[in-house]
Amino acid sequence: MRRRVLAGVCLAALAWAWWVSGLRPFRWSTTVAVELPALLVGWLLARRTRVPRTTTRRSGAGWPWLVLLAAAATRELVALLAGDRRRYPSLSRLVDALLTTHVERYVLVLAWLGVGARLVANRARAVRRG
Amino acid sequence: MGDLVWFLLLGAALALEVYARASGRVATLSGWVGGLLERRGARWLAFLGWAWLGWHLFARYTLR
Repeated sequence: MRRRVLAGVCLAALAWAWWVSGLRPFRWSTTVAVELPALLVGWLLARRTRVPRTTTRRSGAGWPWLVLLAAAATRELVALLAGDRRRYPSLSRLVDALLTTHVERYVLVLAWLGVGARLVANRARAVRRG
Repeated sequence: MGDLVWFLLLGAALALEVYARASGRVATLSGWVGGLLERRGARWLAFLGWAWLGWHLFARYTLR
C-alpha cells in the first residue's frame, strides 16, 4: 500500500514537473504553479512533531564547506554590485543558459523537487530516530 | 573569464567532497548539511531558500 502511494506521488511529481517547466515565465499563474510543492513541503515541515537534537550525523570538520559557501556568496555579491554582468556573471545568469529548452528546465525542476523531498525525508528520519 | 571563478568554486567543491569521502577528516556535503538541518531554525531557513530558488529559477528565468 505504502509503495503504491509512493509510486503515485512520484508519477504526480514527474507530470507536474513536465507541466510547470513548460509554462511561460514572469506570470502570476506560473509563480503559483511553481510554489505548489513549496506549500506541501512547508506543511510537512510545520507539522507538530518533536524533533530530537542529536549529534550522530556530525563526522569531520564542516568549516571548509563554510569557507566555500562564503566565497560563493562574496562572488555573487560582487556580480550584483558590479553591474557589468558580462564581466561578472551572477550564478543565476549562468544557470539561465541551462534553462533554454523544455527538457533542460524539466531536469532542473526535478532536481529542485529532489532537494525539497530531501528536506522532508531528513526531518522524518530525525523524528524516527527519536 | 567571469565564469571561471564559478567553475573554480565548483571544482573546489567536488575536490572537497572526494577528499571528505576518502579521508573522513572533513564532513561530506550531505553530512554537514544534515547536521545543520537538525536545528529547527536552519531547517526553516533551508526551506525558505529552496522555495525562493524555485521561484527565481523557474518562474523568472530569461530566455536568451
